[in-house]
Amino acid sequence: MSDRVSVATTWLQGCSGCHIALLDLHEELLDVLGAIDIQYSPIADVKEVPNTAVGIVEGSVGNRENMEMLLTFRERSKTLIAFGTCACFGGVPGLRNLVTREQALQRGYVETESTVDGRVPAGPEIPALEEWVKPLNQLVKVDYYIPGCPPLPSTIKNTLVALVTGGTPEVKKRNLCEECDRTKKKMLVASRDYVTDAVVSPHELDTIDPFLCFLEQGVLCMGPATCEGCGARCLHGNMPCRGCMGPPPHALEQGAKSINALSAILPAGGLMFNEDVVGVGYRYSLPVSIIPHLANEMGGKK
Amino acid sequence: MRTGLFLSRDDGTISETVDVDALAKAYSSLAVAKVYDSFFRYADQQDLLNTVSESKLDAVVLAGNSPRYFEQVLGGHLVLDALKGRGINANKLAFANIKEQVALPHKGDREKATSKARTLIDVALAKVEASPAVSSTLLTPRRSVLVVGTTAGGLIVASELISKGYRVYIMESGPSLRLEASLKDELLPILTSLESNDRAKFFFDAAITDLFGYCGQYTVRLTSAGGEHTFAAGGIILSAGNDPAFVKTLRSTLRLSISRDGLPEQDGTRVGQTTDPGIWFIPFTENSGALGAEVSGAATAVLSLTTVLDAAELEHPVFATTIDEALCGGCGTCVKTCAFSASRIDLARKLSVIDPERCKGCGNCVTACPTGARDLQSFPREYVTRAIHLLGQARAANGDPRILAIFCKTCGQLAVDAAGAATTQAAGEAYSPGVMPLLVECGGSVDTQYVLEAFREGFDGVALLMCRDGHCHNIVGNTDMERRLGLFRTVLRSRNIDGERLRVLPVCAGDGPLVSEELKAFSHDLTAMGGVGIKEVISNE
Repeated sequence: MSDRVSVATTWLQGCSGCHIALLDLHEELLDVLGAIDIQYSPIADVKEVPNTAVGIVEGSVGNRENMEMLLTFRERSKTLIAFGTCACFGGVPGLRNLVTREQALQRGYVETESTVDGRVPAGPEIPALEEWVKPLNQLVKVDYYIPGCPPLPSTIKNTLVALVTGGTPEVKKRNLCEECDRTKKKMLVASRDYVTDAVVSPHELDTIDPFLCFLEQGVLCMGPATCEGCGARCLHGNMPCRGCMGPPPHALEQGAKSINALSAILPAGGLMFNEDVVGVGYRYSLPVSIIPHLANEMGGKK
Repeated sequence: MRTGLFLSRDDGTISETVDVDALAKAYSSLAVAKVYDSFFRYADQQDLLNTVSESKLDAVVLAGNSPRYFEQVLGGHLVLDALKGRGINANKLAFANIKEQVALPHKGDREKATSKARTLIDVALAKVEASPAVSSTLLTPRRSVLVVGTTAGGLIVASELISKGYRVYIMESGPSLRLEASLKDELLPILTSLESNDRAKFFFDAAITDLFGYCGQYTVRLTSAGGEHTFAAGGIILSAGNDPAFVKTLRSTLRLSISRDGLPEQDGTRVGQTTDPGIWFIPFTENSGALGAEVSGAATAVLSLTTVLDAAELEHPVFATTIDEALCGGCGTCVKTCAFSASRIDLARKLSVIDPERCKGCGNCVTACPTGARDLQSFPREYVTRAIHLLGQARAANGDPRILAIFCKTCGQLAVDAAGAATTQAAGEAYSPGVMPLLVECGGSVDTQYVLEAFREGFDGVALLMCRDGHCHNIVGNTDMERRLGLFRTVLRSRNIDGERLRVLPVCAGDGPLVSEELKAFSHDLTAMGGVGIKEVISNE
């Protein structure tokens, strides 16, 4: 018991999918549990966050309670891991930064079409919403990152094993094309012609060629502007990359980099990212953008 | 690194507005900070060069004239060559344009001008610091020339080159000579001598399919009625006469600027000069077709090219883009983006490979590369980001809106310089001192991330000067920049930044008054819009 590494886990603003991914290790989970001792987690009935060697935090910070929990974890964990895309980059909840807190509350509790006599809930028992959604490293020091929506179970295992054995978890730096084994043809031809005439959604194709680069089929794939590390699992499922691993570490801006890259690859209509440049380009990474939320609201915060 | 800062009073033109002596004092912590009356006078220049040697400098910042002045004015490059002779690497030499972009446009506002000059010097210092020393290639110029187009001028060029000991390859797009009917008889002796000379070779129905290399040593591939041919040429002379359709087919291979008439346009001060020192053209004029004009046109082109090729050796700094292999996933984006076929993917290693003989160092692939694996040696990403930060720190007085004006080394820079030079007492300042200039390699090297950086640093607006159609030296830099920025407005709007705060201004070299007018209008419109209001800086540990 005592030679196992103590671990605490929690989820903040997220969907608990990352914790489910841990369970997706199936029988390998037993190997992991042989090496770590989970002393605190959302599924264990423990009231007080203990001091542990490793703290694993899923989700981004969206309200006061998230913030307090994160600060507690930082204080009580020797090594802190940002677990999953929300914790690393803000994730899907980070898209809230496209509106103000007040607008989000109004829309959610008052203006939705099905709401009758809605009001914004308030009271001492309800944690206040933060002005902006933030990933962990904008608030505390983060030691390691396990991105992915959800993370690959094997990456979780490898990271934990590395920490337990005193090693350093591998840091991925290239884009997803590195791991994708689809064939590229036109993408490798030095010609300024676009690789397709039209841009389509996957469902608009009669057949999706499972072995050919999606861009060459006219389907917008975020792979080039997305960090490797997922093993190209969506591509193996015959669907294009949506970008959940976040931008490669030397490119902060997934959306901006996609725009830069695609201007010579797909025709202009396709560059409209199927009419939602922001939703597609920044689906998982808005809070780590160079300008991560509404500009003129930033100054108002003082 | 030992860096020297040399400031020029420009015989009073600069010192009248900018307190250069105070600036020299402010930089006294550098290895050297000296002020001269001019960089081009004998005594001053000798002292400058001796100082570089004696103080063992390895980087130099020249604060004075525009870098374009050194490149374009006759003999302007000689001082730069001398600096290189004293051991200063081509990439460790930077310019702070405190004349055309500070002293001239802001005449009469000494305090603001001096403070702006200081910012530009900081930026130039950041450039020599962040830029790697470039390697260079040394080659013996080939004594062979490709003549493109068989006008009378072209044939005379070929004949003169033969008599100077050169081998010539003469290509024509059609099946027969382009030679004007009225000159056929008069050129018959020359034609016969070319046809009978085994150092001259004609290609008809020909088209250049590939061209790469450096001035002095190009590899040319062409197809003709007789099949495919590959040969080496030291230089190229274009003599197409008045044929816009033919010129259009040559624009990207010869990197020609094209005028409104569809003919080659002169770059620089010499007749027939192109962006490449090994490629010259005979301009079509109203006198073309007359024997005298053809002879003198040919003589000028031959003299210009052979002046370069007669050197025993030529040295070219290699500004090809770099690849960090640890970051490259082999996606192929660079292959599709490059207009010069300089990138390919090594499939076995799944890595991008650059051909330095084809790469022009324009930076279009650096912008396109989605992982940040590519970088420019001339304007590294680290430098540009730092420059935006430094320029953003400079506060404009009077609450003037702050504008980051980004422009390329050619059309944009010439237009901004011209705007400064056109400043008159009557019209007041050419543009507000709140306009901060940022020189980049090419429109294609403008990463949309830089635009966000600029707004984060507190700029109220970003102006991008774009070469007009047919003028981008890198063929597609202007098109790609416009495509990218067009899409990027949506991203700005998603952060509550009005798309109007990003302006693309198409300009030509001579558009000084237009630039001045547009920048003034931009300042005016931004004043009406108010500030963006980004004050909080995100701290990432």
